[in-house]
Amino acid sequence: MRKGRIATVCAVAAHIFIAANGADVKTFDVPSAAMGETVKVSVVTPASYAVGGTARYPVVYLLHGAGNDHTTYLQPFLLDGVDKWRFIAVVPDGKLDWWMDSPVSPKVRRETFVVDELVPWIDARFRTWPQRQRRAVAGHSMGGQGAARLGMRHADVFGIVGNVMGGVDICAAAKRKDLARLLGPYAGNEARWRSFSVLAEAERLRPGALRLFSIVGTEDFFLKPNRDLHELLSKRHIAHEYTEVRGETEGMSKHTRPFAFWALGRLFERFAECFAEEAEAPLVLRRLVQIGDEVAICAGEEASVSPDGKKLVFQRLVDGRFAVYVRDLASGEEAMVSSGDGQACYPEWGADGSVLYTAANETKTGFAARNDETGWNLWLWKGGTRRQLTKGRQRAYTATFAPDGKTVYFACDRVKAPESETTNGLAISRVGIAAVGVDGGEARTVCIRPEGNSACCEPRISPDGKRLLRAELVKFREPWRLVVSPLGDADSRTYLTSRYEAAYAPAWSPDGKLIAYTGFRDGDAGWGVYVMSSEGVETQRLADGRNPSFTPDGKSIIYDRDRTVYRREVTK
Amino acid sequence: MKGLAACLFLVLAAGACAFEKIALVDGFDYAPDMDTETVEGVRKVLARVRETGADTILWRTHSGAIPRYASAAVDLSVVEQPLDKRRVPLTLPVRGWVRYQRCVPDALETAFACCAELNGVKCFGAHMLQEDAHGGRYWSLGSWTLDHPQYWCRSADGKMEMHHASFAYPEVIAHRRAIVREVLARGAQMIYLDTTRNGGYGPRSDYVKPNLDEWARRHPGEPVPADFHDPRWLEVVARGHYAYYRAIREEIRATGRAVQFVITIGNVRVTDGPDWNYAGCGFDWRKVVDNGLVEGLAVVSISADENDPFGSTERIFRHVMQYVNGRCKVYFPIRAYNFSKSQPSYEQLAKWAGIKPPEAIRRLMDIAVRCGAAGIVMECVDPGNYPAADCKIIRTFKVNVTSEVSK
Repeated sequence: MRKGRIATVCAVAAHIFIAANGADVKTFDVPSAAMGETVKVSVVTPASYAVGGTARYPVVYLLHGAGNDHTTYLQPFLLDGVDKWRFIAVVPDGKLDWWMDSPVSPKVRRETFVVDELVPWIDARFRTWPQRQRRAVAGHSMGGQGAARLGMRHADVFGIVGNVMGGVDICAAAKRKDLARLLGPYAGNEARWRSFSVLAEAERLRPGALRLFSIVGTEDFFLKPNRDLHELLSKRHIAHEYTEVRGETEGMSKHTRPFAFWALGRLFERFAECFAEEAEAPLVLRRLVQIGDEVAICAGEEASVSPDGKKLVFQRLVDGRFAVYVRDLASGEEAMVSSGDGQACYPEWGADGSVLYTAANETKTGFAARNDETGWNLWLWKGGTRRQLTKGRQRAYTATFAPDGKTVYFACDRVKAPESETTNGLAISRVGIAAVGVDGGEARTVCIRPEGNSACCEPRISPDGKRLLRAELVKFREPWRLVVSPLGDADSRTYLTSRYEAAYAPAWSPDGKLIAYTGFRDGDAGWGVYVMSSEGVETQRLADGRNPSFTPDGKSIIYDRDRTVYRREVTK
Repeated sequence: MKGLAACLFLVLAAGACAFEKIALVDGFDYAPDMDTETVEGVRKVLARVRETGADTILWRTHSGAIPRYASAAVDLSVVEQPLDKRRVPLTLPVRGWVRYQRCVPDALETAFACCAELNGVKCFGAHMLQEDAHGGRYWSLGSWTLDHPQYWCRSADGKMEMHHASFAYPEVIAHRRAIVREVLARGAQMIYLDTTRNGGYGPRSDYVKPNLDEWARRHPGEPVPADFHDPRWLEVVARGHYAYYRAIREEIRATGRAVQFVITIGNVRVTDGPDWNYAGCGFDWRKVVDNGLVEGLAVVSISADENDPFGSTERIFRHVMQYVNGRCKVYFPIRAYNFSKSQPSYEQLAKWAGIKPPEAIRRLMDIAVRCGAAGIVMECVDPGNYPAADCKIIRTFKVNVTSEVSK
């Protein structure tokens, strides 16, 4: 629970600018059987919505304040927020009806309209997420009161509530004629007024039923009732987030529209965090680099250029078996690095010109070899000699050196799992990342996921030696995703790609600012070489192909397609 | 009297034809002394299978997505883990399944040749998994599917699912068709399409563009249902499956041989609405029968009532037979694997009824005969399934018209 937080607002101009954005606004006349009339409703969709596809969006219902209508919120704070946080905003006209079903005026059925008529109407016509966890209701003043009350009364419909300077205790506004029209005069109807108050609903609210956010200014005339609500919720141990704002700029702590717009914009960010727990967005396409023409180098795949820039190491399929080769880029001369027995793959350069690769050699049938020490293990080639780094009936593969050259990180199906697990007698597939010194010794577990059928593979250490990048399979059915962590804290994961796209085979740029990878996004014809900013968020498709790596000078990308190695210049 | 006559007719009809005993040969890679990469090993496997009295042997053509033969349709150079790093290695010891592409002759040809040596085995068949991801794990993903993410299935919210390619794409059907062609070319006399063991595929996963476009064409302006159980959505998804089945028929026709096409249905219960096969596997078996797409329907599991295990079993069998009404053969299960109430094994049925497993088998076979089934299907005849006493019942079972009618 966050409570009693005082935020300081410095800039009133933040919400006044007119931003260029792609959000789309449409107005509808939505029929209300309950009220026997049509209601004006503005619907704002993000630019990405218009692109089409199957993507669904969370929805924020915005209930305006007294004296406002369905157009009041059509301001940059909303249009930008919708686009930035990717949700649909729905703004109905609620007149001066306090978003309630009036016990006095039977035609006033604003609560019924919003909950029972508008929500289904929107879900039937827009690609929304129909779950309550991805549906928020928010508003300011009269609308903040409406959002809080409707949210509390209909927690099966709304999962998130945003109350900005709401009139959460209508008894404090006993002299208002509009409320008297709806509830009867306060005198003689005190109990009814109290029962329509948000404070009364908060008494009945079930802990954990809602995610509740409130913001109010320290000079707002609704400050006290909001403090009362915060205290009541705290007393009842109901988790919520309450923020009081003391503005240094005129009006930014009072009951004003600019404050309301600013506060709602802040709430959108919090809503997005809630929505993100249920959904996530794919990377944004953006041009990050200029690319040159594609140049074919040789037959092969999984290629990379040596630290001195003079040689290429790669694997090549010959007579149904993979072997690892080194090619002199100037002369075109090639030499096999692996032994030629069995298969060898996933070569990787060391800083000193050594080559790390994976190899296996089965000469028997699988059955006959069942008791042998057969496995896929790591080998190190240097100056024409080969040395085996790992041993045993394991699969050690996709290895890489740490920048200091002293440690090798690799994927392995024998990393120590928390417990032995089987299903129907089969070991649950789980692959993790281990590390071993280049001089050998015992391998140690670096990274493993707790779930069965998960995997951490293709480790890559950032050039500064501080971050561990890899591909992970999180759970059944999902595609590979790229994940980065501090090297010493692999469980502290930042997901760079979403489940809306597939990504594997990552590689750092020499300066650590870009990550190249094999990716696929909606609409692509097949796998492609992508490059993203190292924080994720933005990405660019460079070519059809797979298994990219940067050249040591960072000026080119090496990749393969149809078992041919290509090179392409990239310019930032 | 009328019922007795009908029963007699059915029994006579069943007795008139051979009562087939189909055995699916599945996971012998785990057998302690059977090397399926050698002729000797295959003969041992078949000897074990023959203990059940099986006269139709379905030899599994793929282990997950890995062909057990020298396939041209699948890139065999990367079928072995971890040669394709997108496939997570099975965390079993390094053995089995890894060298099929290098077997000479290939393992499937060896198996078929060994089957042909057996006297009394009327036919041998091929077991085709519907999808690449049987087992639902990452080690058996198909090379072709991994290479073609543009055909991967998607969930309702657009998330990618890397296990399956959707039959909504003609390219996927063409690939699967090529595999069927390869299996037929090796002499398969039955294409047995196991639709139920599909690694978690279903209309739940088939929100791909061709299906979305078809939905938009059929229901303009209406959002695609988030609930995949919507019968209208199931209809859209099923189109791809029927197209695949028709493609298999065309491949069979092209051989000029009398190859049977049999598909499995599972978790069957008495209902006229969309059932588990429709919502879980993507096709309506009634429409498959109506359109004459198959020669046989193999019921591999039923949702029996634990309070009346054999009575409810018979009601389910009769429900299927009544709908099929002689339009194709129907096989009923002597099921080894137990998924409790939804898909009980014969041993579970025995437990519910308080009888011994061999007696449960006898009762199931009796019911199958009474209902007019073409035979029974065993899934899967692995070393750990179907103990000797149970095998003996199946092996020695004879269709006895007089005794069945007198029951």
